[in-house]
Amino acid sequence: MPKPPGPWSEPSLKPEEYRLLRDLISARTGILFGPDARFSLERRLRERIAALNLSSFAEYHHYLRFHPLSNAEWEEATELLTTNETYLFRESYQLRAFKEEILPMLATLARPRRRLTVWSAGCSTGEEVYTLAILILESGLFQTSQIRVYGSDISKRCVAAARRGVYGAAAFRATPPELKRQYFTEQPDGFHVIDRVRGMCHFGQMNLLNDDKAKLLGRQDAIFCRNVLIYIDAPARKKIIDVFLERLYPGGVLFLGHSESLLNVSTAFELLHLKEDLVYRKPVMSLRDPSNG
Amino acid sequence: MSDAVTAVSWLLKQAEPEARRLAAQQMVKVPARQVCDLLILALADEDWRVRKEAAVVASSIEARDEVTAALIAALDEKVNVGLRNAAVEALVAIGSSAVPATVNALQRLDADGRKLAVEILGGIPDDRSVLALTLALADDDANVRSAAAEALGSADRAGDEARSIAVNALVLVLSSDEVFLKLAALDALTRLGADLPWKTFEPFIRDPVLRRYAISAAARSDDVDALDALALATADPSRTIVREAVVAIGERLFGYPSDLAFKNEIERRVRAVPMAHERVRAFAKQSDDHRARAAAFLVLGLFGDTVDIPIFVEALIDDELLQHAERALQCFGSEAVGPLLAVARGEEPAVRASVLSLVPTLQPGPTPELHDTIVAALSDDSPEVVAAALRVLASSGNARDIAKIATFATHADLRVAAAAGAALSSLATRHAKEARKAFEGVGASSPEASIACLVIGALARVGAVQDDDLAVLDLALAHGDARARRAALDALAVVGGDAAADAITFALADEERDVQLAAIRALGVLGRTEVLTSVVAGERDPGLIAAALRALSVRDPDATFEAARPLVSSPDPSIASAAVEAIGRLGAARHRDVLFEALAHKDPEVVKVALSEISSQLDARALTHLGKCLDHESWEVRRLACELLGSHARDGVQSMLHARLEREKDPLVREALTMALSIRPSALSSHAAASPSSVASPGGEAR
Ligand SMILES: C[S@@+](CC[C@H](N)C(=O)[O-])C[C@H]1O[C@@H](n2cnc3c(N)ncnc32)[C@H](O)[C@@H]1O
Repeated sequence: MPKPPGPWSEPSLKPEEYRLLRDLISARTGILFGPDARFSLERRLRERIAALNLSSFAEYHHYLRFHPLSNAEWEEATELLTTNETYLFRESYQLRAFKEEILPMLATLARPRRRLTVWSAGCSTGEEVYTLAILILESGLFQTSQIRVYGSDISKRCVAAARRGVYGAAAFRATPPELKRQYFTEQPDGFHVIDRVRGMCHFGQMNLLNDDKAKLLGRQDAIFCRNVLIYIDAPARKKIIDVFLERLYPGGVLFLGHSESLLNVSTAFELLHLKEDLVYRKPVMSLRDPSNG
Repeated sequence: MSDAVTAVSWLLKQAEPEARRLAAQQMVKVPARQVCDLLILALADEDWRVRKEAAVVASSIEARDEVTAALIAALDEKVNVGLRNAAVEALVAIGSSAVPATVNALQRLDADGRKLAVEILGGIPDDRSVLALTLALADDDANVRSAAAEALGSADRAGDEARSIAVNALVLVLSSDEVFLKLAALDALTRLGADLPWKTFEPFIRDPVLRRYAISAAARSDDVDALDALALATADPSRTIVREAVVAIGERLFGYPSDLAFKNEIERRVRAVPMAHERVRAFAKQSDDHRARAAAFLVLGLFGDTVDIPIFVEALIDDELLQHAERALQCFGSEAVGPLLAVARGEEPAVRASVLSLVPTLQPGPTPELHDTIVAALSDDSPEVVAAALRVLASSGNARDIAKIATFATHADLRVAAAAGAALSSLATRHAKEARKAFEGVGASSPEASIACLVIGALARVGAVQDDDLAVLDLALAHGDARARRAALDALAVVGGDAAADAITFALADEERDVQLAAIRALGVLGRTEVLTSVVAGERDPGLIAAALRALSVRDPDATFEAARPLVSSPDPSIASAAVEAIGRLGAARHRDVLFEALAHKDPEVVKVALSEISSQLDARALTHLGKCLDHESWEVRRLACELLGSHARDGVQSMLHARLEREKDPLVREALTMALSIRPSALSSHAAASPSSVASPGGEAR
């Protein structure tokens, strides 16, 4: 006799349910779940099945598609589906290249505008944003009031945490101690980013696949999208890169994570060889951008 | 014999009333020669449902003249009252084409029959009926005369000319000696909203039955004698008469606050009438008759006796009486302040709050004592009272209050916080230096950051921003508390500039909806129409779309229209409604076609919003569209259409509503139709604003 379902019997994600959910998630968020990810997805979403009092993943799929409250549920699901691992001064060789080679170039480019804007797309809990702001200040090339660093993430919880700017010791594993001393103050709940830096940083919730939202950002001098595209499937990746191209000033640069490249994604960027790194640059004279005639 | 005749005759003989009702329904198929007999048979049926059905069917039978003749003949019927009444109903349903035959019948029928004929003519809006009715005022029979007077009360349905013919005829009747006829005529004149000189009514002031009409007429007059009579009536031994007078005076005082001549004249007179004060006070105190009580407040105010103040205080928390009580207290001026505050002390918070907000309006300039009282109220236990005090301080506070008010700006109670915010920004514009001092110690990342933003916003409004203010706002935008981010956006909107605009635009991506709404408002202030347009086009949240359309409409009506137009057909009813509302708000005649289009939306809610917007300007086309909605499949739409049409008296409209009433099955819609048909704003509403003559009606029950 089959056991009656009870709190001890959690539903499992059947292969056909997995395929449906995987496709739905990728269409909405671009987040990729490969052939081996069934158990990972099951583990991440199991708590939602319980929270909504559903009995199967098929029902959950239906809920996400048709329920009147599906928008709110997507927010919940997104929190569980994203990987938010990040820390301050991540991938230092790239940051060095930014500070020493790119910023001077951007300073010339941005001078007439008297403002430098940088966007961290997929900023998670904000570490990358504050890192960039500190680097720009450290370069001494710009005045505080001229610098804006935008951070965006699909996760609401991440954006709120990013805006707080309070970090535990683990976030500092790659941070030079003198910078930690200079730009953070220790308080009982952790290390707080100082106000001078916080005032330069703005955060918002944004799904990179929603290009209307991206238009809320003005033109950018540099975009950092590191360790985001690896989680995203190819068509979505292509769409996102197009948005970046559109948002950059001619001559603006795009930084991807060290294992990511635009290979097979876009040929609109030109490759810029730096001492320690490769970055993508929007051509100054681009056929695709009517704004530089 | 045709099949139809056989079938109908057979059905009419069945014992089952439902069968006979069906027979009545089938009557239209019977050939002209035989139909009249069968119809009369059905109209004479013992079951009312059969009679009712036959009366309705009568108007759709083709052989109209024959049917009319047969129905008129049935008016002679002496035994079967049901038949007679059903015939009346059927003739009214036939309408105008039954008028000539009915008028003829008036010459030859007996008194009972003539009374029925008068009823029929009263039911058919037609100038020929009105003429015939004026003649019937001189009928030999008293009952017929009264019935004619009564019937003339709806002459306005036949148009303005018919109305004035009726009014003239009814006025002549007022000099007859027949009390009932005069009563019917006065009632009819009231229903017609006739505007007549006091002279006409004067003779009735001593007539026990007719004097209530005289009193209400007196309140519409400026004649000295009329006012004397009116004042005297406030102390009449009859309670009904006192009520009539109090209502008439009170409602005129309330409706025409700038008519000081009337106020002074009537005040002098009522004060001189012994006992008037007591009689009026009794009405102001009793609680079951709301209308009389409200009116009595204004009359009681005329006596200016501070002993009465507690009577008004109680009413300050009654939504329906609040305005009347306030107006009465205004008569006392600053004399009321002391007693009011004293009475309020022992009352519940809502009363205390009400009194606090009222007191400054009684005093021309704020006195130091009053100011102290208001400031002391900031320590009240009730947030309601504190909020009221803050609202008063917003206009009458001084520089020294700023620091104290600032402490309430982050109050946990949202009413208090909002009132403090408003007070703070209003005072900051007047006392920039002190305001700056109030937030000097407040860091932009502290919990009170919103205060700093609020003050900067206010200072920016008077052009007093400083360079480092911007840094404060930027930092507040990074605040963990959405309230601070919102306040920063509000302020940035006033400060303006490209940098502010970029930050505000990005705030549309804030994870909190409140902040997004603030960003939309701010973009409206900045006049960033392109961004707002793209919000309207790209957003899915109806609330945000509506807000963006609203913000857009302030700056750029054309862009608003262009943005809203495609959304009118959105399948999401809340988005479509927001678009319809936005277009309606623009109020431009050239956009009306889109509102008409919206009436075809699948969702009744959208149709209702469109109807309401359309009804703000009821021209011929709008009426046609509203008329079509009388046949809408949703009963809610039909009901709204009835209500909107009912407020608009035009010949075509009345018949449209009548026609619908015949077919309508839904009880709620029927109710709305009946209501709509009995509201007759008629011609007088147009001059109501200039003179009070149409405001009061005797007893008030007539409309
Ligand atoms: C591993 S973190 C990277 C953080 C940071 N850029 C770094 O390199 O340390 C990836 C972030 O991308 C976000 N993300 C994933 N899909 C996204 C999408 N479609 N739109 C916006 N953000 C997305 C996730 O929420 C997550 O916070």
